[in-house]
Amino acid sequence: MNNIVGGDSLGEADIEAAYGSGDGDLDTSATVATAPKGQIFEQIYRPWNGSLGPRWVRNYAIYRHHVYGIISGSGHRRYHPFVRLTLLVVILGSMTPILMLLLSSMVSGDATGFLNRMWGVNRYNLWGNVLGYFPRNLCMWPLLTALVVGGLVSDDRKNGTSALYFSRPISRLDYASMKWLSAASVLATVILLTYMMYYSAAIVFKGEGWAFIADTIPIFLGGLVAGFFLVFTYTSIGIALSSISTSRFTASVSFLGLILGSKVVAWLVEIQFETTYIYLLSPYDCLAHLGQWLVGLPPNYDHPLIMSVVSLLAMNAASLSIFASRVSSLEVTRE
Amino acid sequence: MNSTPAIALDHVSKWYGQVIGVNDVSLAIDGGVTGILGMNGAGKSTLFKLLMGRLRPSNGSVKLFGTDPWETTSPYRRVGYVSESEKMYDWMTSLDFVSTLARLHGMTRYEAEKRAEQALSFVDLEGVLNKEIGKYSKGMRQRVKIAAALVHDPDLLILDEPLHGCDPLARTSIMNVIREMGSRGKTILVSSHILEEIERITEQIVILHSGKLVALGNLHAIRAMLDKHPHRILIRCADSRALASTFIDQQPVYGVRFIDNESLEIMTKDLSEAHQLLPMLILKSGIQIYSIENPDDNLESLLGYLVGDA
Amino acid sequence: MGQLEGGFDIANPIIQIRGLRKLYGPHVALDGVDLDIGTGGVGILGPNGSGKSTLFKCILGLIRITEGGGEVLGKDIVTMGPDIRSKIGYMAEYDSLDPGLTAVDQVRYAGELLGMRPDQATQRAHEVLQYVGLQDQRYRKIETFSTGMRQATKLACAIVHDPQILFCDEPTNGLDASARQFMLDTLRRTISDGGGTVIMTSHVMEDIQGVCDRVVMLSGGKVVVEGRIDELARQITREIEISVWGGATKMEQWLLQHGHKVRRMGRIMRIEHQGDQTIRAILEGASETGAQVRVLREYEPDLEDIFLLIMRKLGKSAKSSSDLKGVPGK
Repeated sequence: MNNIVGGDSLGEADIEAAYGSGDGDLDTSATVATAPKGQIFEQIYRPWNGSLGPRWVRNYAIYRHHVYGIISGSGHRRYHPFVRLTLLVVILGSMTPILMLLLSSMVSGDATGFLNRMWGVNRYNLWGNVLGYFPRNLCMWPLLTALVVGGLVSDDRKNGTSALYFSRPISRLDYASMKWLSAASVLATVILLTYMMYYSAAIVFKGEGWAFIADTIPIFLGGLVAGFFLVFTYTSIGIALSSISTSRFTASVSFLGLILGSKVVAWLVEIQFETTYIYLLSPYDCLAHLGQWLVGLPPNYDHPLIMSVVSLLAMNAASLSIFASRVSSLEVTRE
Repeated sequence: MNSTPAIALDHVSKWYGQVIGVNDVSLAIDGGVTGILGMNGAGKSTLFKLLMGRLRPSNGSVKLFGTDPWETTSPYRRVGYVSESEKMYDWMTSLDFVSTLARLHGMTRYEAEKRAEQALSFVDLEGVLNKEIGKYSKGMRQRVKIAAALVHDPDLLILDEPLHGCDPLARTSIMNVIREMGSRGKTILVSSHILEEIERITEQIVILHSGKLVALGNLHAIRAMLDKHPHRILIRCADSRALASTFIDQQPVYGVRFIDNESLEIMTKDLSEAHQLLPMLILKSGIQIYSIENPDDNLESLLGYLVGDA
Repeated sequence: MGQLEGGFDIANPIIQIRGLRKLYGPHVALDGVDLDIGTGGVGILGPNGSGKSTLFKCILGLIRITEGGGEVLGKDIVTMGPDIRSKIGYMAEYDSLDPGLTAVDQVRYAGELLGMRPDQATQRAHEVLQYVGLQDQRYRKIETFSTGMRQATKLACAIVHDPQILFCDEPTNGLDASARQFMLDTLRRTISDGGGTVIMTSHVMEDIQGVCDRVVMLSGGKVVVEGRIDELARQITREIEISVWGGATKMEQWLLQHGHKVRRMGRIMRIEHQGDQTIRAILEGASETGAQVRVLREYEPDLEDIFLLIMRKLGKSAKSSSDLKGVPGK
């Protein structure tokens, strides 16, 4: 048994005397005023005899909490109304090519040729829908990621809600993967879904036939794969940043800074020193390089593709390992 | 009380827009330990901020040692303040932090470090002196604050929930110090939600409710003033009815309530008189008693009467 | 040193720990802990750094154990951590709520994270919020809540699935008198009506006594005491405590003259209880010296006394201001 201090007497308990009690004097003094209030209620404990669902139910709950939060204003994870508005603008913005396609199919004459070249389905436009320079990939996609990812993990660290997850049968892996998946889903919806809609719209509005589809499908699929890599990479980097910082704002701003900054610096270096190697440090450019190859466009970069691919893998690996280590350091109790 | 008491508030009010934090409070505290009580939102934190010069009163004047703390910082040389909401520099070690604060009070580097070490080992942190505060647990952080408040041997200590997060050992140590400093003539103002803690430290209390001063002074005296609630003496004995018959005809006793065969309650308007007579009456009756108590002469009941919690 | 009588009713322990050791590098957080915990209310005590938090983490299956092992509700803590965590509730010491959610949404999410379906979780969330007294505030956002309400919400999240064991880490942190009382009443009711077990840590011994009937005390990573509070209290010297008004010094002298063992501080005196005649003697003393004995009772040692005396036995006593003296120049 345990009792190191057991057995005989523990001795005498300490006496304490409050200040003001003096030596047992009779006289003391005071002044008073007055006020009232009150309440009552019945407290009854109700047991629960339901059964708990398996792992996928819990994981889906995490996923739903994050994803639904974007759509609905209450009941799930709260996103600031401004954020949701911006996301709406981004998704509408990414659907403008579809609008342009509609227009081009309605207008006839010289204009048609022009509109077709600008918005019709061709290698460059397909690539552009996913990885195009401006305003998309340099403004909309990073902004989108930044807004979705800000606070994803940092909020839990700040509010201490990690205790809620880990004191339940949720493993760190489940937590991490569901969070990652929820961010990736939102990105995928905006980027890949609109891309697919664009392609389908092009076929529908132009009344294209099977020959056209057979021709363009490989390019389309190439773009889709490039888009997938984009979503994966941006989500990983963004979530890694969110797991390092303690505020939504810092994570978002750092992400934007990283993507845009690295792009701009590499571009300046290219102009000044005529070398494209620095682009290896810019996630966007590595993705663009890979995308160009997948879609069949001539590359803008002088360095071999394999280097961009390796850089991309390295960036993803680094981000995911940072993310993993930060998640495993989230506390449940503190002493 | 001399002309420059440690704390003097004169018709002080503070409001934030529509909300009143403190409403026409006047009091003077000089020497000894005073407990300050009130529910969350009663005005305690506003009062502390006013005393520490963080807020300026909307009305009235606040003076520490005769000087207005809003005007000059000189009173603070003699003041130590502990509050849970205060932040510390998490990257500093506790020794650095406390000795830096000590130096700000005008000590030499050597003296500051020595006193800081002492203060920190007093609160049982000597083993972690060189560890950063950011790595400390809540209770340890609390103790660093207490050490920082004691390091310069202040004349006035203002303590907002000082025992929060302390284990019984630390708590007893700190309570000992508070009582002892009080009896040496220093002025200490302590607030706590845990009434039993206040009761152990001091009988002098200040009660706030909704920003107003509800009572001030010795807790037993306050109780005695609540005529609406007559005093009760609860006696547990071998035979309550037999015992009761011995005091039914005594002047100070105006009522006796039987709780069961072994307990009775005597109602009286003059507690002192009643207690004067009691021992002799009990002895004369020859009945064995087990305990005598004043069931509502404690802070909890007092607050209940004054402020009306359920 | 002899053995303490009693200990727990370990006929059906719900938690069994054997030889638990946990090292963080060279630092020994837990040093061979053996424990059996049965149902009801159990307080875990110990000075800061004694290993309470680490013990919780081990029991909840959250950290890797260096040596030893145990079972919670018959499940191994090393291999069945997630299973254990479906059957227990944990109320964290610090903030663990999302301020942007309403109370009912937060508690519902807490239930969903256990695997409840949204409809089950919603219904339970309402029930449980009513139980903790937040009936009227459940649609408000948590960021508008006072400390008391937040603590209640944390409790609600922890009991949403009616767990068999509830772990509470400092449940009365920052609560004012009435909120504190309510929290303790709620925890007590959870044991008595809910039939569950509450394992609680707190620095306020009063609170532990208000909810638990047994305690486990840790110091330096080891269990130093384990037993029922009332039995431990019996090991302290029995004394009668009196509070004297108007003549404490005279009273003290009278008692000493008549051969009683008296300790005094200000108006409070403790006289060693030697049977019925002690009380009679006190009353005689009072009537002869004219002092008023306003309070007279058998001093019932509380958990705080037990804690301090045990710590003293272990060689650690409380300090006083003399420990703060003596610096050159001041």
